Amino acid sequence: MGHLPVPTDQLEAWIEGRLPEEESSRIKQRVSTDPQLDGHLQDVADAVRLVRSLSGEKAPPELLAHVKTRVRARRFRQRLRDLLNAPRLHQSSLETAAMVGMLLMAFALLVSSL
Amino acid sequence: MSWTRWSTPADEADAWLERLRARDETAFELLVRRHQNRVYSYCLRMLNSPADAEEIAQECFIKAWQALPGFRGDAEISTWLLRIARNLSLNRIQHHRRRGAGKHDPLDETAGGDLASLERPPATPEQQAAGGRLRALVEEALGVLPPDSRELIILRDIEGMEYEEITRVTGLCLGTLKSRLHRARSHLADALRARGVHGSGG
Repeated sequence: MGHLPVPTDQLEAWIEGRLPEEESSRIKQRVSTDPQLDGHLQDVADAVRLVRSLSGEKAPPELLAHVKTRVRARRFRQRLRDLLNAPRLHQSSLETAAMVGMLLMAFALLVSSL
Repeated sequence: MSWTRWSTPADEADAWLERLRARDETAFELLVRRHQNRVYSYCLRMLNSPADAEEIAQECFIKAWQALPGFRGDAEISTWLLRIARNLSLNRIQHHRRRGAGKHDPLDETAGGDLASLERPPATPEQQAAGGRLRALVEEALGVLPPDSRELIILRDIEGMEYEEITRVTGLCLGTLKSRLHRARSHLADALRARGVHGSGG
């Protein structure tokens, strides 16, 4: 499109059918001075009207159930991982306790030898 | 005068968001129930395949589930979900394109030429009034637009979103969005004309 006889914002509002009747007629009148532009804009306005008649689609009824199943599976896997990791944590704390015990014993031996 | 503090819808929304962040399953179920139609509808229009749309919509909610603890609430949750759905849909389109050699891809821009070249009798007003055929033609015309054009029409004209919300989903600035939307609508008008669809009959 070259130079537009109407500001683009107003033109978009006209295409979307958001303008009051009076303003809409005024724009239509201005645009009609350029038959090519008039035809193009009318086609675009018709396209918008047609595509707006396509309503949003409804999600399949099983979508929620599938999402819930996958979320639970994820939760389960996470818990399983936590459980599997737990003995390692337990083991490392035992190792730490043993080391602390040995250090204490060494310290006690050192003190008694003095 | 009672000084009891009633919980407002905003308080309830905050509480719900907190429960979501804590991955409360009941709160999450409500999230899916509230947004599944919009997410699925967006995916379906973008991907032109109910099977792909369902898979991507599921993936979108799973990704949301994973990311919920970090959701800061800067954006509306619906915008956030659509952003996830958008990224997943665009990835799926890329994936189809990479694999699509030798296979008809309704999402490919060049496919429009093939479809348009099919000899199709112009839809008369009577036929168009029948509804189903017209709807199919409009869906087909929408389907041959490039994804970035198609998504703007989906968000604005089918989902009825405000410009500002669309900028948050797509990351476009307002001026770019408006000019691209106009160009997308022009392409759609051309695609409809190529299929013999005229507004006077719709």
